[in-house]
Amino acid sequence: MADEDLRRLFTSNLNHYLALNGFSQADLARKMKVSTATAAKWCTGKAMPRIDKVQSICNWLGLEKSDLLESRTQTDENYYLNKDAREYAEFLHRNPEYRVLFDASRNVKKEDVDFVRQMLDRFGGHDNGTTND
Amino acid sequence: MTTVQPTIRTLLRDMPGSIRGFVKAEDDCYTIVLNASLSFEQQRETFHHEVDHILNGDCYSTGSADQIESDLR
Repeated sequence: MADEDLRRLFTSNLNHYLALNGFSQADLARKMKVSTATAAKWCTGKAMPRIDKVQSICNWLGLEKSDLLESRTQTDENYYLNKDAREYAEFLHRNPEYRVLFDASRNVKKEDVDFVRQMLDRFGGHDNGTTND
Repeated sequence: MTTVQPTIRTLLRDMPGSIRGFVKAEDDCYTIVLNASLSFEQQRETFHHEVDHILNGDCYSTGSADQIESDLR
């Protein structure tokens, strides 16, 4: 893929996931510890971040590098955007000890799904979930 | 002929903001857990979302969790 095509694809994906998470260019600049001018260049396709910054953006937004560097067609077919969260939600649905389905954001993270698993483990143990609320 | 009605209990719990709620199935008993930090209106919407899962038989569906969520929206 030509550099320009990759830059355009990255910019499109970056803006998509920033908007999906309700983040601005200013948030991006602050989180990545770069100037607002640099963040603006990433968001307008005038420059690409180094690969370590791409990884940092992925870590921040709960994405795989392929989510930013490849076409979104495949990922848009999924409800859960984060692969690890998607697999964890699938495990909790399939496992007869859990049989759980969520009402969760598309960008839910694995740690958040794990929070629920731990809660359910407590339901089955000391906290049986019968506390009056 | 008798029809078994599912038993549904509802709990409020503090959860991460990305989790509005979930439903756990155990035979014909279902536990719906709602995020305590949501507004009443949001909790009502999530409750209806989880009841739809129950009525659709989604908890015992062989479909993937991802596909089930896509289909319900």
